[in-house]
Amino acid sequence: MRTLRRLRWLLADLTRVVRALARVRAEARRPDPPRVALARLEGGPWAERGRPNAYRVRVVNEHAAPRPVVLRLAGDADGAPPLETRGAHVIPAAAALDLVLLTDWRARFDLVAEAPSDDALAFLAPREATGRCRLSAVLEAEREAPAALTIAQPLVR
Amino acid sequence: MNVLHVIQRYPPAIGGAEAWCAGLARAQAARGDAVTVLTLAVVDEDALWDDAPRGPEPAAVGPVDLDAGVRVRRCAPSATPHAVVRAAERLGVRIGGRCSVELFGRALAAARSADAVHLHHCNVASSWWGLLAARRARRPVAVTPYFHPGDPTFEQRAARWLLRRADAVVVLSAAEADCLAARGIARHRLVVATTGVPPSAGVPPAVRTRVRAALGLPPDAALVAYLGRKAPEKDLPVLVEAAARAARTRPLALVLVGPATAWYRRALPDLVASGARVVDVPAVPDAAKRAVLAAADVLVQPSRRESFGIVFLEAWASGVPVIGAAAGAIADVVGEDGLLFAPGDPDDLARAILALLDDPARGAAMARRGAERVRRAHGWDRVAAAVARAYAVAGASGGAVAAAGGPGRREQPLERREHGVR
Repeated sequence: MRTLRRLRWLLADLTRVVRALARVRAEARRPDPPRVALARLEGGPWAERGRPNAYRVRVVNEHAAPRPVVLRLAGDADGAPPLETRGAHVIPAAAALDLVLLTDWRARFDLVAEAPSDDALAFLAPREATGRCRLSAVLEAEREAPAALTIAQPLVR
Repeated sequence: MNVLHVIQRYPPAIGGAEAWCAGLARAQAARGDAVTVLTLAVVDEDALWDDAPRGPEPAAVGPVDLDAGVRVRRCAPSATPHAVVRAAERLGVRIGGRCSVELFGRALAAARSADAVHLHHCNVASSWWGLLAARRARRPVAVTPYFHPGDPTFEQRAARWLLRRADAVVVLSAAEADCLAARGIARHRLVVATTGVPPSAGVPPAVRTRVRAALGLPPDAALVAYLGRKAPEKDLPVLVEAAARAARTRPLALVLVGPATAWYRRALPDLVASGARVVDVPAVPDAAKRAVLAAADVLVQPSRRESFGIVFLEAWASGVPVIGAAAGAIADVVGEDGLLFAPGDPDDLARAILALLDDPARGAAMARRGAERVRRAHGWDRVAAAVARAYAVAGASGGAVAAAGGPGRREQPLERREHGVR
């Protein structure tokens, strides 16, 4: 009985593999045009409420001409009202634009060009998480499907 | 030149192979090559080995990136066909890493416009598929295996099969070259490229005190550092046990810095209970990592299965003495510029730690010699030049290896080689 069940699983998986190979062929033929996309959304190992926390956002334009985009960011931390910001930017041709979101996870939620110099050593101190915070970025560009990335971190006091 | 790299993960994912691939790709782009990296949209290491659903992490990546002139194309991993993987294991093939329909398809398409296809690792599905894609497009193939001797996934026949069919094999040390030659890879296809480190940004002189304060340690505490992935193959229990034994002779703190894995999260309570003063630090920004390194008295890399160990170079560049396991490439890399211990032996490692803590002048002299080696021989431009030689080797044999039915006909059978032909 067990052997039969295993054989059935194997056959089902083999069918899936054959279908996947067909999709690989289709993928190989699919054009891969240049695009405007969210490349990265990164924070530190944790965030601290009440202090500025920096998040790196990278938007990439692979086209041979500059492209206007709208970047929307939304965040929520345990028990705090949701935070939002949006900004319009022009990404130069064949280039990446690095932006920084600064938030204290209370009221401040600003998209800026450069992060202020911070104390990287703060991340060395052992901290106890009291909750979690979540940050989403949505990118809208003409003739492109909206792109989104989400990250989450422990929130420390 | 149009170069296609195929690798499972790429920075911001943390790891030696990831750092090496990124350092090389950026240096190639700086030389004027058109460089594309095909990789998975995965940052967390655990997500490479299983496809269990995961919540968001502190970093996320999108489908494309431009990284210092390198075009990075990230593909979604596919569901793992577990029954097929298990059946393959029964046949002696251990399929490492994740499969990706998107990556496999893009590899077939991108190989057609590449002048060279560079595969990273010899034990993962993406490399086996990358070889197939390159062969279909009749493009030369170089592979950097980051070979871990003794690891069953590296020692399996499928990994050796890939290495024998690549036109050139790029290794990071002479010891790795010897190791692969001993496994039947022809010497003329092995190119030693070593590795590079980014130029040291320098740290303020008060960093020693500030790092200790941030870690909650007294200003005069001896600090033993480990920097890297906290994965099972890194032999961290040996280091923790050694630190506990050394701490019986003199007070010290062991600081473990790097991204955790599920294994580490399970093992941490036992490690902390071992008696050593262990400070666990997650993956932190580069500035914090450099500060810990600069403030350390000793850096230990306890793993016995490294193809190089970039962290040794980073430690020397920061003026810190190093200890590594006397195994494989590590012994070759550390050489006379650090101390070696018997792999897996916490007593021997504890002796080495105490020897360096008790004689800082000796450690400083070793670190100075190591730093001189870093300046002399470990720039990324040198690595890129060596890899260009590997591509020339690959181009010269350009598909001939596979077309001839595999190198097995020309190269010595393994059985003969293992009797000492080197």
